Amino acid sequence: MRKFQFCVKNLNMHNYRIQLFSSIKDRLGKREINVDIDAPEISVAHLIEEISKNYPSISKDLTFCRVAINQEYKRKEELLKKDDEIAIIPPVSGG
Amino acid sequence: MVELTHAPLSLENASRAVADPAAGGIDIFLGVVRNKNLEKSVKYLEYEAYETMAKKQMQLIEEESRKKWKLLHVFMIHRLGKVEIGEASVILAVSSVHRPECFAATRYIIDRLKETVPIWKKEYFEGGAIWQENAEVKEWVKQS
Repeated sequence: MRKFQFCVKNLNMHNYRIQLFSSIKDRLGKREINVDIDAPEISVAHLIEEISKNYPSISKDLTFCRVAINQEYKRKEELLKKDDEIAIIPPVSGG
Repeated sequence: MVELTHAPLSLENASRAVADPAAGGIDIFLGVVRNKNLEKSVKYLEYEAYETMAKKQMQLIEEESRKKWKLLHVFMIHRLGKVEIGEASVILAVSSVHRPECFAATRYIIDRLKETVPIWKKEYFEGGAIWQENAEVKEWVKQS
């Protein structure tokens, strides 16, 4: 029974793969994280919330970051899908 | 034309990339690594990029500048990895028929690059290292 419940739970979850750079990457020691969310499409703001919940050590840093979907900056209310190329973009410092 | 490279940048290549018989002016800007930042002695910098997106953003800036001014050629190249004091981290070259267009476009392009292109520098100094952020990105999150 327990095993069955576990499977059902996972069927409803969708995996989002998120690329990390610079300070955020260093903070977590990872180039990429995976977050499971119970919807195949969510807003940028929702994604940030879920990442904060799963990785509280970067929740403050995330408030200073932007999000890129398929290599384009997106606003908080815009939607993204689980198979999109997702990246957290800390304040840039090129040049 | 936009490029990212781990190799030292060549001023001559940049100038050749925008050469044109119709050009009356070529403006070239070099961003170089300085030895001091906020009173700290800098040893060297290390640059990292979200490479595919950085190139896309650089192309977007080129398109924006071509809409604003009549330009012949635009070339921008940013270096990645370790860059020593005095070395160029970025070179931008613009050619146009007359000089006002290439002067204006060069200024615009380098300012936009520092504002939006996903490239980051880590500053190494005596006793530590820190990821920098450009003064241009103060409104970073408000834009989203």
